[in-house]
Amino acid sequence: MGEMAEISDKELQKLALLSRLRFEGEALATFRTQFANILGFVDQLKQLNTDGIRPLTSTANLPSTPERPDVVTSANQRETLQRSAVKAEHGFYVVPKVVE
Amino acid sequence: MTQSLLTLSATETLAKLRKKELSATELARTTLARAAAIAPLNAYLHITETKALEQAAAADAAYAAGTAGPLAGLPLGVKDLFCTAGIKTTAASKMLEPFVPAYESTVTAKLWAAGAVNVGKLNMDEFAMGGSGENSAFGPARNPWDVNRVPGGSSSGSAAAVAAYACFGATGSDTGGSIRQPASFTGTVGIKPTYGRCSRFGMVAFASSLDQAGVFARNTADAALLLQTIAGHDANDSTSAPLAVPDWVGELKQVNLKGLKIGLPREYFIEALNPVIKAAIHAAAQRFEAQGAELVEVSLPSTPYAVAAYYIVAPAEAASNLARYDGMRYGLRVEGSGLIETYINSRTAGFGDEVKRRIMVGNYALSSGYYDAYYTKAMQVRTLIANEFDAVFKQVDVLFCPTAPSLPFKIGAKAKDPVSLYLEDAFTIPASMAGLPGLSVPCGTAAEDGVTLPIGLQMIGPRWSEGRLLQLAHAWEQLRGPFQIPFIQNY
Amino acid sequence: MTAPLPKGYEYVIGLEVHAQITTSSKLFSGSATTFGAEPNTQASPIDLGMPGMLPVLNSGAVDAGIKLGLAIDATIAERSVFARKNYYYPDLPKGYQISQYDQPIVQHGKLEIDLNGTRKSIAITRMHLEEDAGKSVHDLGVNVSHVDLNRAGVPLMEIVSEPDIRSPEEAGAYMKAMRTLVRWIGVCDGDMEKGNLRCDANISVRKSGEPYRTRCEIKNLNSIRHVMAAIEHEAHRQIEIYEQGGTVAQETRLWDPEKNETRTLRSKEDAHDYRYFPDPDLLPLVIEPARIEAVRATLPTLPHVLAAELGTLGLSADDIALLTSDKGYSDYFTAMLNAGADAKLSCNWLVSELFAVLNKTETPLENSPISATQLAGLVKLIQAGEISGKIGKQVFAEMLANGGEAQTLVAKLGLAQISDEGALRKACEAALAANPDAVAKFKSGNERIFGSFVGFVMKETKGQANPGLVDKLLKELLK
Repeated sequence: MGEMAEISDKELQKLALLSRLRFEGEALATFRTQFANILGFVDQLKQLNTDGIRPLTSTANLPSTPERPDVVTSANQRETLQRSAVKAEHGFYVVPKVVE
Repeated sequence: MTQSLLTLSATETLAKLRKKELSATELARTTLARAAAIAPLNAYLHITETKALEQAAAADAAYAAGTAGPLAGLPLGVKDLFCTAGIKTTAASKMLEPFVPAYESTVTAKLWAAGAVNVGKLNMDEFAMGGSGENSAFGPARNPWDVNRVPGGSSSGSAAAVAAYACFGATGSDTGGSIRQPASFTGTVGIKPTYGRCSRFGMVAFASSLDQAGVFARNTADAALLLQTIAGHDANDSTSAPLAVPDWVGELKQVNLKGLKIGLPREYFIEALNPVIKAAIHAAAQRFEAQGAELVEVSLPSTPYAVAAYYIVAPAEAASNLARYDGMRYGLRVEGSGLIETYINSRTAGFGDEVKRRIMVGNYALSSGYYDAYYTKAMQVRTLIANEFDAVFKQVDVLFCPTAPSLPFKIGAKAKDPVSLYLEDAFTIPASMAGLPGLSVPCGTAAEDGVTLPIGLQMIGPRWSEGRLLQLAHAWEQLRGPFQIPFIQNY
Repeated sequence: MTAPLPKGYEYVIGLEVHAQITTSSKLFSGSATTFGAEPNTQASPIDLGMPGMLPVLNSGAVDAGIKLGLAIDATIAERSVFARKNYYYPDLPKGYQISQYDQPIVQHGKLEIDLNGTRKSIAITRMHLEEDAGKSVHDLGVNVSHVDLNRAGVPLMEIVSEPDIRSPEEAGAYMKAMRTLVRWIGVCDGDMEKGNLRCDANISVRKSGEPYRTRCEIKNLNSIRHVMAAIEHEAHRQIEIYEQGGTVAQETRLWDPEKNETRTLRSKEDAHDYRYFPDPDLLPLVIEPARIEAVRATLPTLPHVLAAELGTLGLSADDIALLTSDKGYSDYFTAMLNAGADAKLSCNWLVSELFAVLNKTETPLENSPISATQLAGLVKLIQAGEISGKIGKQVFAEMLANGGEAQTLVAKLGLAQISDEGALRKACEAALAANPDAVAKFKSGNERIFGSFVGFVMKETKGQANPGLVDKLLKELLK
């Protein structure tokens, strides 16, 4: 296992905001330790020389991403789909005010 | 009567249904009662009684009309990762607790089209993240062999329900071992096919380039039957392979062990491997050798790095896949003052600790400045792993190795240290990273602290070799002899 | 015309044009793309980012991308990659936009622009395919926004120019040329009012010869006028900062057309980190050469090529610019030529007569009551000398009002030319007899008065006399 990776509180909070998550109090302390452990663990990859190796992003070996014909196949499903909506009115999804 | 009915294999049960010695409705009622009775195992998140009885009635009608499909009347469980139209699908997360999809996953649609009966939705690690089932927002599922132990994960409920005779088979999904490892922990047969074999459409995504649906059953013939029902090309999934599905059931016995080259990968027989498991795998391999197979020690040198690479790739994809759970359209919303706070409140309340950890690790690995050092690096390691498998499969036909390094552990034993739990996946992750099919079949038991626990033999093959894996697992079942999971009336 | 920048500064402008591709269905789902539908009636589970939903690429959008690439003389990538651009926004249902990042479908193109007859080539860095976001409505409630996801997933092309543009006029000309081109090849309707064509402008200023300075991006400019005004104001804002010894911060700004100024887009609470990575739900897009050739075969003659061809026909620069500003115009004109009408005459009748009428009635050319072959029929009668231009206008008016072919209308209205020598000889004799003084003047050497005899005959015959014949007969009679 690699050595403990350091992550500052500032960096952690920035990452939490990027992730739209919050860590506070004891949860924050626990998380910081675990996060450092995980980073320390994955850091062992640095020992491996991968110069010039192509990254493998998918093992689906198709010649190209499949394409569908430009045809409308989906009808209006608003009523059904909005049954699971958190909040909908006048056909819109209602969300907290978006401030530009 | 009840026990003798529930302990039948799927194949035997279907034969009885076909001969009308058994009605699908009677079978459904019996299975539903069993599913309710095993509640202490927390395997089912919700039992879909109405749906099951409807489907069973339809199966009875189909048998009467002579139009019954290949699985007509067979009660199955569904991992709660597969969207089921009109039926709550939660991925064992508070985030999706209120979510009822309007659509059906391709995998489950195929099961219902074949006449199967949906007993209910099965517990799992939240969003399939975990190897013990303890990360479920609705409490851990328990191992039928010992309720104080985990059934493995992430398909914890699937494995537990099949092993507890509360369904005749179940769907699972395997991203880094989530079918094979729980199969090993519960004495069931679990197969993860080649990436692209089964459609991911309607399956709640964890890590898109690794997720693959598969099945649990109590024997290989049943697994073959279920797998060939759910496999096949789907135009709704761009990564689905346009390949015909072989008749795996029909070809199950067409195997010649003479001259078969079985590879034993050195890197899987390491110090961290429980010696009892090691002995069991070697013993199994030797049984094949006695039948004329050749055992070859092979090497997959990048194996020790697979777990680390996986814990970058999978979280990176997961961080992005789970961004849609933002409380805006569906799922959980916890209002805050303003938009950003509502996002944060919803996601902080909706996700469990492991999901949060992985989202954070994934976003870290993808963020600017770290992308090449982590994400690109992990994808390069993935190439190394895949190339090494390719090379090895030029020497041997199949790899035999342990499914998991340890026996089922006690609930809570590894809960504090995520990394120790990650290492439980060390033998299942490499095949996932290379997109290869893998299968776990029981190969014995071991006693620990006075309880008997199952051991799983993992077989890994080249791409699209599910047929061979099923044949060899079936052959193993003949060599091994009967393997009975204890039927326990009350847990 | 905007004034040059003060103190020796020059504009450095790059434009990112977003063009909505005119496909029937979305980029990754089978939902309709019809404009103006009721909210969320064209939003499927895929567009809503529901659990387990997966994208499948629309081949029509790929073909449109190839088509645009060919039209800007660019390289079509043999392999391009769809990537996820991750950010949170309520109208972005998946929490990421599927776009293309380091491996776009099209690279290294160019677009020719016309600046009052001077042509300039603007280099195009790249074009990539991406999905649009939904729409948030902010004024339907207090402290809430309303989200409509009909637009989410609609295919867009993002066309990025090099910072080759050096004035607001050039930027305007670039937008016009781009609008014409995308409409011309049928990949986008170019409707800026509906937002189907919009642009972001990257603006910096520098003193001539300097390296580039810091740029600001101005988002969502939805008219050519706004593009030009925003650029001008932004450049002056930056110059003012530099002249006061300050530095320009790299940022995203919004154009406020009412206040005529740009302002900082309230910076997001976190710095943007889009965490691009290849979308694992899609595979790389590989385009075979045969497919490119198949698309090439559907490509019409491009405006700049057609302009060069029209130049050889003796048309004026203004007329050529007009005819090549819209494929409908050039198709109409070409149809007239194909029907055998003369180029210059056709151009005159199309531009001066038909366009004038259509403009007055705000009728688009495709709804013109006179077809290209009908107008060509009229032009041909004139060029054959069968009717005069003046008669032509009468026929044109009739054609416009009641339709019909020129030949038929001429007969129906009795406007056919009189070429009966006997009848014309009589008319000529009558003309001379009616003007004895003029005849005397002519005979005493004032040959210029000859025209008045012709005029008299034409007037008497309501302009229908064959002018050549009248000329010949009068000359004989006056001998």
